[in-house]
Amino acid sequence: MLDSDDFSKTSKSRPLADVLHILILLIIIKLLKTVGLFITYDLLKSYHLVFILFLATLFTSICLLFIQKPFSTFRPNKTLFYRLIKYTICLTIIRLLWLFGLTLCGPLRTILLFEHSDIVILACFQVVFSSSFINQQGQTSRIRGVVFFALAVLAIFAFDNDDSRQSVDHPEGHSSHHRFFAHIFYRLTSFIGVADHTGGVILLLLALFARCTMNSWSKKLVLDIGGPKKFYAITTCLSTVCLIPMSFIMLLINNLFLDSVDSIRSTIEPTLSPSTTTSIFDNMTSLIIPIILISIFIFVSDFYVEQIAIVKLDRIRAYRYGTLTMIFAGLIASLVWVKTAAVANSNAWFGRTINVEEHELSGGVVFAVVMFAFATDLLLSPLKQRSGAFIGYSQEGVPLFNLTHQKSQSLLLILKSSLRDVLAEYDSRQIFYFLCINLSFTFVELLYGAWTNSLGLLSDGFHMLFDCTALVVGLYAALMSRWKPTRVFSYGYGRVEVLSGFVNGLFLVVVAFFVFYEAIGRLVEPPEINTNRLLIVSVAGFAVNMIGIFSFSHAHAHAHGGGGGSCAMSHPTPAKEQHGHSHDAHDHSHSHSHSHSHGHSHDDSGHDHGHSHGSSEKANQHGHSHSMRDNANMKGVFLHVLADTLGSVGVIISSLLIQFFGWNISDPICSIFISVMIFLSVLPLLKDSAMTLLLQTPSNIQYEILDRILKLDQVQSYSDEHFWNLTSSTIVGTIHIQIANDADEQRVTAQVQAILKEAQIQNVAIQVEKQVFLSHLNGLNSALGQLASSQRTFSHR
Amino acid sequence: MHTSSSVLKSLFYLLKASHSRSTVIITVATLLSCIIVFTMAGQTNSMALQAFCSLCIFDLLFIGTALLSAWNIENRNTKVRQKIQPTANTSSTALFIPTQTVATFSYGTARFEVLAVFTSTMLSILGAFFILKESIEKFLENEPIHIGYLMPASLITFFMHLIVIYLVPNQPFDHVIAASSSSWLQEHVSDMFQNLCHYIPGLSRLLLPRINPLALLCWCGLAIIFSDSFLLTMGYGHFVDTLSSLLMAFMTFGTMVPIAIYSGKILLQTTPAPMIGQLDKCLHEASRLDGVLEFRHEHFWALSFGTLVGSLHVRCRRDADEQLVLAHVWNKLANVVQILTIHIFKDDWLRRQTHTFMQPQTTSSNQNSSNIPPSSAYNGFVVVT
Repeated sequence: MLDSDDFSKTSKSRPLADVLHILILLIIIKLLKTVGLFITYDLLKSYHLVFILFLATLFTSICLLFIQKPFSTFRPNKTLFYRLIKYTICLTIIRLLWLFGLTLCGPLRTILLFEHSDIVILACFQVVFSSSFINQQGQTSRIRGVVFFALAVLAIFAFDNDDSRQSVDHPEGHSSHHRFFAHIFYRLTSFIGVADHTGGVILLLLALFARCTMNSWSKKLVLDIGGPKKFYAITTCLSTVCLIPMSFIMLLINNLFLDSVDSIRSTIEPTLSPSTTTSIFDNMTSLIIPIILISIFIFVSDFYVEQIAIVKLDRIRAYRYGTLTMIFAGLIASLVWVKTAAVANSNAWFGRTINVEEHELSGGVVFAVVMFAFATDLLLSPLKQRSGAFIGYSQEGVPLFNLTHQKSQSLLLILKSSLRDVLAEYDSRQIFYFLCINLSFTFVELLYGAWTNSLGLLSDGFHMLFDCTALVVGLYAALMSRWKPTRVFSYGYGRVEVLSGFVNGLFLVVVAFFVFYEAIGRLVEPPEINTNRLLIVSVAGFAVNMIGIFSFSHAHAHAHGGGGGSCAMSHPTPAKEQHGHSHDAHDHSHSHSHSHSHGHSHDDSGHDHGHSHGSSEKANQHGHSHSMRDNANMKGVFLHVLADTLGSVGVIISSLLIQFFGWNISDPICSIFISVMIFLSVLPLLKDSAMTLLLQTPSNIQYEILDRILKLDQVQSYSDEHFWNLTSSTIVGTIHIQIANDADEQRVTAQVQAILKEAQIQNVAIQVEKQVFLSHLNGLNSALGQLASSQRTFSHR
Repeated sequence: MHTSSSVLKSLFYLLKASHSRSTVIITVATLLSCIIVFTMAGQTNSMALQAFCSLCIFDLLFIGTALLSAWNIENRNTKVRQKIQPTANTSSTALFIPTQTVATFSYGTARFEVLAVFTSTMLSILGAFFILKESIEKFLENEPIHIGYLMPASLITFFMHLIVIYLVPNQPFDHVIAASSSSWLQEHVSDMFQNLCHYIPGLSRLLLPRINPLALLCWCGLAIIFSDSFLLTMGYGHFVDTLSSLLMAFMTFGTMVPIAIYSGKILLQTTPAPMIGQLDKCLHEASRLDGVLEFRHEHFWALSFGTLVGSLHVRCRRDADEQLVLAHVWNKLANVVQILTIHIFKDDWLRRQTHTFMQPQTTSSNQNSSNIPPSSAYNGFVVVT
C-alpha cells in the first residue's frame, strides 16, 4: 500500500532533510486529528451535534484567545465586521453540515470525502469546466485524477453497501423534535428515495464545495484582518457566539421533549430506563475530557501545524501528505476502532449505551480509499506552467509570445450567433425546427415516463434522444458547409455535407443491424409485451415524424424544384441503372409496408388509413427523389426521419396485432421487415455519397468534351484528366494538355476553359505543356511525377 | 448473375494466392466466432459483453479493409501493366467495381482504402453509440444477467481480435494508426507507464513505445469484463454491468475517433497537417522564381494515405517564358506533390500581340489596370472563378 514515506523519498523538488521534523509533526498531528474525529463520532452518538460543536468551539476559542490574543489589536470598521459576520455564519453552517454528515456516514467516510484540500477540488473543477483541451503532459494526468476522484465518490455513493443501516428505518424516529435538522433531512432523503448514508455523502460533498468556495472568496478578508492565524481565532470566537443561542435552544428543546427522546431511545433499546438520560449535566464530566481532546486535535493543533507546514514545506506537499496520512490513518483506525467502540459501548463509557449500527468497512470503501489516494496524488502534482505560443520576432529581434490561447466568448453570444446562422438558410432552419419539435416531444415523453414510472416510455424517450443525434449531426454539417475556405480546407467545407450524409447512412445501417439482431433474438423466444401505453406513444411519435417528413419533402420540392433537369443530367451512366433499381427498391419498400399493414389488419379500421398514407408518401417521395440528390446531408436526415416513421408504423401494427390477436411473434417479424426496409432505403444514399467521396468522375463529363478539346487547333493530346464532384453541385477538374511547340499557351488555355465551363465545371486548373517543358525538366533533373503519359505523347510525334 | 460470378472469381483468386490463404482462414474463423459470441452475448443479457463483442464485428471490417487494400495493390499493378501493354485487359479481382475502373475513377482506386478505414471506424463508433443507448435502456429494464457465458465469450473475442490485428497484414490501418493522433486511452496509458518507468527504468523498452490502440482497446476491454464478472458474482447487480458497458463504449469512441478524424479529413480533401510546413517551404521557394508573380487557388489535398494531389494557379509576368516557369515551379513542387497540375496565366495575354516587348513593365501594368473591362473575358482568374 502507498505510504506517505514513499512519496517523501521520491519527491525531488526540495531536499527533505531540513524539513523532515515538520513533516513528521504534520503526520502526527493528522493522525491525532483522525483520532479526534473518531472520538467525535462516538460523542455524536450520544449528544446533539450543535451542542458538541458549541462546546468544542468554545474551548477552542478560549485556547486561541490565550495563544493569539486576537482582539488586542483588532479595530474593525463596520463593513469589515459585516463581512466577518457573514463568513462566520457560513463557517458555522458548514461545520454543522460536516458534523451532521459525520453522524450519518461515520468517521472514515467523512475523512475520505471532506478532508481534501482546496487545491484538489479546484483542480477538479478546472479540468471539468476549462475548455482548453490542449494536449499537455499534465493535462492527461489531471483528467485521470478527476476520473479517479469521481470513481471514488461513486464507490462510496453506490457501491458501499451499508445494508445493515438501511434496514433500520429512521434511527431518529418520526416525531423527533430532538434532532430537528435530522428530521427534516430524513423527510427529504426519503422523498428523494436515497438511503440516509448516501444522503450523508451528498451533505459532505456539499460542505466540501462550500468550504472551497468560501475559502477562495475569503482570501481578501484574511488579508484585511491581518494573517490567517488571527483570522482563524476571531472567526472561531465569533462562531462560538453564533452557536450560543442555537445550543441553548437545543438544550431547552432537549429538556422539554425528553419524553419523546426517551421513547425513541426505548424503541431502539427497550430495556433502557429513562432515568439514565434525565440530566445532561450529569454527564458533563465525562463529556469534558473528550471535548477538550476534540478541540485540541481537530481545531487547534491541526490548524497551527498546517500553517507551519504550508510555510516550511510548500503548500502542495503539505496538503498531499496531510490528506494521504488522514486517508490511510482513517482506514486503519476504522479497522481498530470498530472493536474498541464495541467494547466502549458495552462499558457504557459515555454514560449510556446506544446501539447504533456501526459503519463497517466494505469493498467499495477500500476501493474509494485507493482511488482517493491516487486522485490526491495526481491532482496535486504540479502542473507545468503553460508557456505562450511562439509567434515570431519583433522589430528589435525580441521573441514574441502569444499568451492568450483561446479567446473566450460568452456562451450566450455563441448561442446567439449560431442560432442566427442556423436560421439563415432554409435547410438548416428546417432541420432545426424539426429538432426542436422532436426534442420537446422526447422530453415530454421522458417526463411523463418518469412521472408514471413507465419503463417503456422512458426507453422510447431514450431512443428518440438517440435519433435526435442524427439530426444534430445533419444540422452541424449544414452549418459547417457554409464556412469559408481555409488553408487546410482549401476547397471549402462543402464536402462536409456529403460526409455527413454518408455518416448518417452508416448510422442507419447500424440501426438496421441492431434492430435485426434483436428481432432475431426475439424470434427465437418471443417475450410478453405490455401494450398498454405503447400504442398512444407510437401514434404520437408517428405524428411527429410525419411532420418531419412533410416539412423535409416540402422543403425539397420548394428549394430544388427547378433544378430537376441538371440533376438528372448529373448522374453517372453506369450507375443509372443501378439507381433506378434502388429507387424501385425504395418504392417497393413503401408499398411493402402498406400492403403489410393492410394485409394484416383486415379487420381493423386501418385499411383506408394505410391507403391514404400510401398515396401521400408516394407523392412526397416523388418530391424528394428529384431533390435529395443535391444534398446528401438532407437526404440522410430525411431517411432517418423516414426510418423512424417506419419504426413507429411497425410498432403500431405489431401492438395492434398483439392487442387483438395476441400474436407476440408479430413484433419481431415487423422489426425484421423494418430493418430490411431501412437498409434498402439507405443503400442509394450510401452509394451516392461514397462515390462523391471517392472522386468518381461525374457522368456529364463525356468523352465528347474531351474530344472537343482534342479537336482544338494545335492541341496534340490531353492527359491526367481528373473531374470530380466537390459537392453535389460543384464540379472540379484538372487536366494536362500537350500542344505543339509553336502554339500559344494562353489561347489554348482560354479555349479549354471555355469548353469546360460549358460543361459546368467551375473550378479548373489546366496545365499546358510543350515539348520544351519536358526538356526543361530534364535539364533541371526534376522528378517527373505523373508526366510519363505526356512524355509518351511527345516522343510519339 | 454477373456479380455472383465475379464474387466467385475473386474468391477463387483469393484462395489461389498463397499470401491471402491465411487471411481467408482467419476471416472464416472470425465469422464463426462472431456468430458464436453474439449468440452467447444474447444469452447472457449483459451489455458489457455485447460492447466487447462488437470488437468482433470491427475485426470483420478490419479484414475487409485488408482485402480491399490487397485488391487495390493488385489493381494498381494491373493498371501499370495495362499502361505498358494496353491490349492486355485481364483483371482477376473485379469484385467491387465490375468495369470501367480506370475511367470512372480517374485517380485510381487508392481512395477506396481511405473510405474503407473511415467506414469501419465510423461503424464501430456508431455501434458504440448504439450500445450506449441500449445499456441505458437495459438498465431501466432491469433484467437478470447470467454470468456463465461471460468469460468464454470474452476470451474468444479477445484472442480472435489479437489474431486479426497482428496476423492480418493491413497497410491502410497500419498507416492510420501510425499517423493519427493518439487516443485518450493511449495517452493515459503512456502517461501511466511513464510514471511507472520513473520507478523501474528497465521497463521503458517494453512499455514506452506507442501501443497499438486496437490492441490496447482489447486489453482494457478484457480487464473491464473481468472486473465486471467479478463484481457480478459478488452480487453487485446491474449497475456494474451498465457502468462497464458505458466505459467500453467510451473506450471504443476514444480509440476510433482519432482514426476516423484522420481518414475523414482525407475524404474531405484537406491538406494533411504534417505536410503543411513542407508545402509552405516549397511554395515559398517557388514564389521567388523568376517570372512568377503570385499563386492563387492553391489546392493541395491527400488522395490516399501518403499521396498528395495538388493544383495551383500561377500568375506570371507577361514577358516570361511560360514553359520555363512551368518547369521551374514543377521542379520545386513535384518532390512533395505526387500528382500536380499547374495552371499558368498572364494578365492581358491578348495584348502581347499588339504591344511590343520593348515597353517597360511599369507602364504596361498601369495600362492593365485602366484597361481591364474589355479584356476581362480572357483574364485568367475571372474566368476561373
